[in-house]
Amino acid sequence: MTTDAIATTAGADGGLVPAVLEVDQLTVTFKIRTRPFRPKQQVTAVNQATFSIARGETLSLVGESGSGKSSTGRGILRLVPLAGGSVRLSGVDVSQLSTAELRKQRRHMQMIFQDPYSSLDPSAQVRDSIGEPLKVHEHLGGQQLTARVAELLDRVGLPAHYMSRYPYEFSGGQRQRVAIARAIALQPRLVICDEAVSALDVSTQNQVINLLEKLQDEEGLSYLFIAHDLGVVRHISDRVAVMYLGRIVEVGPAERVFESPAHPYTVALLSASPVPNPVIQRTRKRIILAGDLPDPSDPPSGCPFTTRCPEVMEICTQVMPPAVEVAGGGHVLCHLYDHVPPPVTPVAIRPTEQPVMHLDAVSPAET
Amino acid sequence: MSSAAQPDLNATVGDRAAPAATGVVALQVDGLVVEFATDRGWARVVDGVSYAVASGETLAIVGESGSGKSVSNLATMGLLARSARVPAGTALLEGTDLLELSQRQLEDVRGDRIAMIFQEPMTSLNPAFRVGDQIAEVVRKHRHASRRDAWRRAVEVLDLVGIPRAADRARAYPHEFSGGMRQRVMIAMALACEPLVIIADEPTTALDVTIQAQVLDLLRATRDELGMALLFITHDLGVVADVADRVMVMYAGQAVETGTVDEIFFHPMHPYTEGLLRSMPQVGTQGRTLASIPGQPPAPWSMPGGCRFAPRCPYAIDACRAAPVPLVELTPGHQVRCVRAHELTLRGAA
Amino acid sequence: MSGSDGSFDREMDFQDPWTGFTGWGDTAADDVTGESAARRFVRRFAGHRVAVLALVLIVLLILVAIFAPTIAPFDPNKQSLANHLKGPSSTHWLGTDELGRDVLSRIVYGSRVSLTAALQAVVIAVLLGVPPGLLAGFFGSWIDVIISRLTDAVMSFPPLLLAIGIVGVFGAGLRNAMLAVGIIFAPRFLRLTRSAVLSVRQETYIEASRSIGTSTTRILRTRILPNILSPLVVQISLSLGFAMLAEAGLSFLGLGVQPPQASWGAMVGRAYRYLDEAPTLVIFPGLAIVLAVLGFNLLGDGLRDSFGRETRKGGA
Repeated sequence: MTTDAIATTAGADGGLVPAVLEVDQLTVTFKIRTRPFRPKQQVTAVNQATFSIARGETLSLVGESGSGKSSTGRGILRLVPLAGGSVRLSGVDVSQLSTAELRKQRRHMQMIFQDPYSSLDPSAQVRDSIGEPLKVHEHLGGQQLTARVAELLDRVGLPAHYMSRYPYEFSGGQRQRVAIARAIALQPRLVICDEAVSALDVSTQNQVINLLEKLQDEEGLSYLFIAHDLGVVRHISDRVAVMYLGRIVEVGPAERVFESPAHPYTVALLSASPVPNPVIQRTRKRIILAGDLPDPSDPPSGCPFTTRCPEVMEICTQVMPPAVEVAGGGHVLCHLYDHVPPPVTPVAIRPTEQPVMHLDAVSPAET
Repeated sequence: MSSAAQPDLNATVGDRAAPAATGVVALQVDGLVVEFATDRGWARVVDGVSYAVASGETLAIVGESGSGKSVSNLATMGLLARSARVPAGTALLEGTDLLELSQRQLEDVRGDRIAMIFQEPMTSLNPAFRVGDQIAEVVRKHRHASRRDAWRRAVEVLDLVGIPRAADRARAYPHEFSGGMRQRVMIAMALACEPLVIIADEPTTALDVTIQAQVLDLLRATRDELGMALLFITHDLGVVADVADRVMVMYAGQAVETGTVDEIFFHPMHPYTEGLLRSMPQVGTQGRTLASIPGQPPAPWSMPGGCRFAPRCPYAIDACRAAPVPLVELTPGHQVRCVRAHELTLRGAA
Repeated sequence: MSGSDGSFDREMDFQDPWTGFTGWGDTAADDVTGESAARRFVRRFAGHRVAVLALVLIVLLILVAIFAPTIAPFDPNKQSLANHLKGPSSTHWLGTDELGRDVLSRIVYGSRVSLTAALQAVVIAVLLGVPPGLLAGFFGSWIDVIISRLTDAVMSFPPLLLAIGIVGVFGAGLRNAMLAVGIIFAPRFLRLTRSAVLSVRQETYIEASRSIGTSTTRILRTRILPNILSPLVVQISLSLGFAMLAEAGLSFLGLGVQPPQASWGAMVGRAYRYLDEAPTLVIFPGLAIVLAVLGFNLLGDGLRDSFGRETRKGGA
């Protein structure tokens, strides 16, 4: 099972499959007023993010609030202006398109939002919400539109007669199904799921995840899955990118990142995420990071993680570490591996349920 | 279909709170019923819930949104909206029934003997006052301390919850704290009068995991240090595994299973508990269909006549739908509301 | 959601009964009432007795205006000096005025003038107020600044002075008077629209529409406008009442309808001179004004309470 997963993702990772999305040095900045009556400050929400997603692949973007994972998704769709870098969708440079051309390209990339209660127009019937992309891009109407909407509802597991209902008549999970139906209406190549299951209850969350996976199999969709729930991420992802303060600090096949995380932040994140098993939870070693995320308008120099890193060295505060390849796939941005390559651990021999700490020696006291 | 409208005698009569595992019982709730006024009349959102929590112990109440887990605790604290009523039940704290108290009497108890921590600390802190003053205010109200003593206590508890440079930070306003630090301030305020019981309602849901880990650690440490009873309301089974001694699982306004954390996770007796545990994405499910509980929880005005979980339960038989199912104690301290509890072999956490 | 599909076999998949099982049906999903927004609105509105009464009153008023020729017992402009200033009688139910015209007939015909005048003013106010409000709220930045400053300028003018000014420039007459009232009311619609758009614009469903590739004009038309409609409808209802009042006031001052045409305000204005001899001459048209204005205002309040979202969650 474990080796299989590696084999399949290696194809995606190695670029054997053509990339649907290529993000190069993507940078998103905002001007915000951090204090009243002070001039606005520039905040770099996403700092030179580079990654690609292959056809049929799921790349998860994990990180805490303020890490820039949502801004990355919005930047790719150009829902926020880009400050630098390029975004190529099936070879088309989306970042250079005019507004009118961009509108046409939008049919190939869709988004599912976190809050199913606010992502559907409360005054519009479901038929109108799901039909919006079909009206805009294919100029459908009347019988044709109704037939397509019925078909889409069926594909997301809702009866066709729901199309005349309003969002308030649905539960969160059902609304998210409606949002998914809208997102796949035009057979997009890329769907960005921005915390798409985070607001749902446990029992309905999995129904939606199963639906997303089923649609991926049927349509060859590529997902950029933005989430903070590591359990869900582990299940759904082929590859995982970890963001911290606007930077992608580690990326690699999901199995490798979860079994042998290389970046100290990834290690801490995995260790802080509780496991639904009281015995493991009681016995496992946890790294409790000190402090909070630094102020994004005044990031630390060098590596962004220096202020909380248990492994911090002198060089870390001076130079941003370069990307180093990790055995088992992907790369990491950390000075720990400037001279020593990241540890190679045969993934298969590790007990799967135990989160593995390579920095076990570090105790919170040392922070 | 109309069972929600009438009291469900079969189900509530036999229900007694399971005895707490350790220590002295701090808060004991029995047969609590909460109803909300809706277009369709009174909707029963909590139907005969009983539990007890002892000093030095953490009881986690788990359930999905709408299960009644939060409402039952708001009811015991007298914090329900005007459109709600509590037609039955008792909530004993040091021999006093909280449900019998007037709002004024409750105000004396809240923040003193029983304190609450909410999901979003920003809404529970007054943005216009310094956090030190807000904590000192609580101390002055309940302890009749002098201004100076109250301030000193405020700094002390801020320090206790790990706020660096507490004496300085006490002079800061809520918006000057990050989300995690604000939750620490809320905990400090809850601790200020050394209450008997702390009710934490999804206290870490709005926080990031690394901050959540800090706050959970803090709650655990202060509970041990001060020997309080901690009532922890959450939907996150990972957090439950982390903090709880005992667990009560709620579904559609009723407790469906109560037991120690190990019993609940490793020997669940109720199909809903099993379903929740199976729904947690686990290692090794990649590429496979995730287990999920089909359908939706029932609405309060259309509760199924028999077992409320039956429509979504793969084990349901005709007997399940026949009549309301009582909560039964199968082994000491382990209660379950399932007709087939004795014959089913359910799987726990891996 | 529609029950177990038959293919599921519990015994065979005992390892994990939680995959593939679709439930036994009968869950909350199918329990939703399927009540449309319109029907919900009607149900809630029907619960407001006062608002329903107001609606009945206004519908009656509209019917009276439409069927004025059949309802009115006399020609409203037919003078009969022999019968002037008569109190209520069996022939002239509400008496006659100083020229011997039947007061009831004049009130009946006056409803036409009052209603159309109020409608004119509100239509003008909506046309002048809503589109710039939409633009200012949606686009913000300098468009918002310019539009908002212009609004402030209009609002800082004393309304009566503005009305007199406009009538002075374009000449007296009902149409010009109502143009003035429309201009005076426009800033209210503008501000209301702007603030409603500002809050709707924040919603995720607007961003969702943008991400689909929907054009800005289409977003304004299909997503923004329907969601700001309820406060607008309430404001329209309230404004109709105020416009009737304004018409009455301007006609009373002689700036509105010109004789011999009947309007409630003009009737009060003329009858004012005979207050001592025939007080009923003031009372009846005055009462008509009060009832109509009250009707529109109560209707507006009822509408406001009946719009808005219902929360169905019991809590927790």
